[in-house]
Amino acid sequence: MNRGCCIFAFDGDIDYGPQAVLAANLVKKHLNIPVSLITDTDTLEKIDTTIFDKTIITSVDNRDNSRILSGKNIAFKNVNRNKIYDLTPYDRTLLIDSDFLIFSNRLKEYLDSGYNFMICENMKDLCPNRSGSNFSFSPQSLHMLWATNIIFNKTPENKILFDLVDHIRENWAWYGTLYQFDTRRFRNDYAFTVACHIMGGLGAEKYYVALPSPILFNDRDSLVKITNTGLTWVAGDQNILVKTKDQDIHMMNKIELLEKIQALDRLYD
Amino acid sequence: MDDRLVKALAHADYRQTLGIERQRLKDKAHAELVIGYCGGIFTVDRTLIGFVNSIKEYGSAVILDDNGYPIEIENLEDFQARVIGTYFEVTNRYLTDYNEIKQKRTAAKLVDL
Repeated sequence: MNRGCCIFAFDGDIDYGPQAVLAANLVKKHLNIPVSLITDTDTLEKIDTTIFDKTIITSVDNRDNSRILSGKNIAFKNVNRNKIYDLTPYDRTLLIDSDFLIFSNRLKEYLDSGYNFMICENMKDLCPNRSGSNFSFSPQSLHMLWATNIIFNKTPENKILFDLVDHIRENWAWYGTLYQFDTRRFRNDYAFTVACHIMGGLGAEKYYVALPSPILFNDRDSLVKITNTGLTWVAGDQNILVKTKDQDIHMMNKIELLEKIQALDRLYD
Repeated sequence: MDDRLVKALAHADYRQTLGIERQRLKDKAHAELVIGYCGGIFTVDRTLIGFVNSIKEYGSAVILDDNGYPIEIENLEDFQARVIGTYFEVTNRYLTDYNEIKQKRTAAKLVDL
């Protein structure tokens, strides 16, 4: 069974290409597996693709899916994530967002396991009294899973799941009413959460096995120092000091990530 | 601002950062104690070590992993070596990191500023 990592990158209001290059370099350094980029021609033209074992060109879905990030309205081109099942060149795929930065070999243990579908169930927020990473659609509904990183095998069952995500996206308002989530924009996290719930026999059992929890930094957190011995952050409105070292990070502040990308690039040399 | 309050707030900042650092190191160690073996996912802890020690003489066994699924371990001796090796490696690193932050007496030093 061949295995590898896939990263989606479609430039919009934010350049995802450079983020994908950084993420790919970190995957190679810490997990030592091949990495493929799934992108469009516009994004591809702007980046050095030598780190990628394969680049897979696909059409971008331009449906409006914007949200406020760091005070700006940012358009996201992320509604075709479920196409990964058909696009991936691997039998066993680690799918990560381009803002998911791997600084440990933890996921290797999970890649080595025999489970067919694994998804991130929780993220750690180091700031006290902040619970943004532990989120339920509503008190009566589901705990949200994070589609930021997923490991899956190409199996007929998983094909049904990825097709189901597409169906959920097409019927977003209906599923939003049923599962009581905010439908103002499409979120892969929500779609995969609902799909896993349905695939698990409508909650009869877990369809997935949980991946390890990375550390979550949101758009109010700033990365202030980058060295080989760790990253230093100022987090939240209270300017709480936090350090990370050898731990995987989901850096939701994509604007900050782009600003610091040259310094971060030096970490995989 | 009253000097007493300035000192108290500085100390509060230090204790908060120290608490976050301690929690981070604990989370990191717990994450590193998870291993993949024979297709299963196992958290290495004192219970697993004791259990594997007690059944090692059988040579092979079915052990339930973290998700409650039965995993056939064909070579318990090799599994034991992996489990104990992981435990020692991770806890020793945890101790080193823990002792290191104990030496740092300001919030800035705790985060390498």
